[in-house]
Amino acid sequence: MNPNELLKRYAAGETQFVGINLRAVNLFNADLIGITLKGADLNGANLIFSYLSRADLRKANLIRAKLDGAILNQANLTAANLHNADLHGASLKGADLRSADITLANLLDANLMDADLRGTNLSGANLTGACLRGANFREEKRIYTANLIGANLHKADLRGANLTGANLAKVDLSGANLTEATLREADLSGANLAGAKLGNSYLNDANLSGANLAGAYMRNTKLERANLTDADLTNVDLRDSLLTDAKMSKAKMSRANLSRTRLIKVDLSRVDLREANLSEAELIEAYLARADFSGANLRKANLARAELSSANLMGAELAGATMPDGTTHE
Amino acid sequence: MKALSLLDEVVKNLEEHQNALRIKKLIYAICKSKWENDANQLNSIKLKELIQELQIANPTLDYLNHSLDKLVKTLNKPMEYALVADVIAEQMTRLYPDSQEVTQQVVKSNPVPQSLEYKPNLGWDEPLISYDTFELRVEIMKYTNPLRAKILAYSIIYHLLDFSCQQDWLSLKTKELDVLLHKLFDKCKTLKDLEYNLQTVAKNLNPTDEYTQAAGAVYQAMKRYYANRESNQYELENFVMNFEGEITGAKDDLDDGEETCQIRPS
Repeated sequence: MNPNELLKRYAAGETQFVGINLRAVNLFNADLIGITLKGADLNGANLIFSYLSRADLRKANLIRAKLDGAILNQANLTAANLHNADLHGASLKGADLRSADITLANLLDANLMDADLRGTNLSGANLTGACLRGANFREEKRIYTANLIGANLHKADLRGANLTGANLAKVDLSGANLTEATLREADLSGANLAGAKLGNSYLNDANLSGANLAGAYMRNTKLERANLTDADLTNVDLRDSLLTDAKMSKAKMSRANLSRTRLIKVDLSRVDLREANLSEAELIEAYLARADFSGANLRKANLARAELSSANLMGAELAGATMPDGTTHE
Repeated sequence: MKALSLLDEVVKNLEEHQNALRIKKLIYAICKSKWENDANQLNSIKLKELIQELQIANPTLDYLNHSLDKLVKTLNKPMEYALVADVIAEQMTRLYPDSQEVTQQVVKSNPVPQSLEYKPNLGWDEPLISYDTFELRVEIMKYTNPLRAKILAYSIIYHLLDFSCQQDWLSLKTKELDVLLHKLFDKCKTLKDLEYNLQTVAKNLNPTDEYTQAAGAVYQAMKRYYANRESNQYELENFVMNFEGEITGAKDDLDDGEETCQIRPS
């Protein structure tokens, strides 16, 4: 069908265009609100700035479709194929994208607020600057989490997102907003979280080994039993966070702010804590073999029963600290 | 990576400069909103980190020049420090993508987000940025088409976007909405400027009604931050006014007498 015929019939009130062939057609700026294009072939179509709100695009072929600036709010895109599609600056608010193939698609600065992304494949997609607030990535009971392997989530807005158990290994989340996000048991090994906002987030049992968290804002986060081995936490703000039983061996934490942080029973062996602020931190029973505290601030820190015998305390400030033997440092 | 080696080069040039200490003092003052004469304190922070921080706080070269100029004017050795500021600005020019675009005319075929060259946005402690980038973006996306908002900002900052020009489209794809909005704040110093620019550009884009709608949404979202912005600049002026009281008394051999630096209200 040619685009003119489609627009004419749509203007005349027809909305059902199931399975039609619209391969590579030009529908730039077309107003097709509420249209049914279920199973249609729109491969390579130009849909830039089109209005497709509430459109039925289930199982549609949208491979390489140009959807820059398209309005797809509340559209049904379940099981649609959006592989390599361009959705730059598109609006997909409340869209249903369950099980859609969005691999290698460009979603730069797209609006995905409240979108349903359960079971979608977003691997290799560019989600830089995308807003994903309220987006649903997973179902609580079934293992039906979105696939984000190799996705670019630089500066993406994931505030409050539920990414429990998600595989985010090596994903670029630098500068992303993960405030209040749930990342329990998530695999973030080797991920880039430099400068990310993680305040009040839940990272219990998460794997952050080798992750880059330099300069991240992590105030009041829950990191119990998290694996932070070899992670880069330089300049991180971890004030008031809970890290009980975390594994932090060999982490780089110079100049980090760990004031009032609870590090009970944490493995901090070989950690670089030079010039870090650990004032009033709780390090009860922490394992500090060969940890480097040179120039660190440990005022009023609690080091009761901590293994401190091979730690480097050159230039560290210990006034008021409770030492491993229970005495208070002058 | 190219960006990294460029940064390292800038760091090296500034560290090896005969005025290295003054350079660091000036950068430190802008980044930390505090004048520091204590050499130990200055030495404890790597210049590289300060430069990254400086670049984040000053997303454009214009912004940087403005920050430097403003601070220098308040010091009691403005002539000497103006020269130091020139050295900083000259080196920093190389770290801003725009200036490279001008000199190299690089058109990237693969739209790689250019801001990866920056250290990521730290958000909570930027002295001159007085808005939450995420909140602003959400406000805009809630009420208009993100792409039209980008086109408006792009057209104000650079030139009217030409829809028939493939290069303009590609260029738009290398810019993040975030960065464009920041530049827009920088370009439009007052709310009136913003309103005028948005209206003018919207009238010249087709379809005008769509862009007028987008312009309204951008205006409404940015409006409330203008008040914040002014109060933050006021705070910066205040720190400069107050730093006299924070002097540690440590002597600075190279900059003899500088700890008595007086601040004149600008």
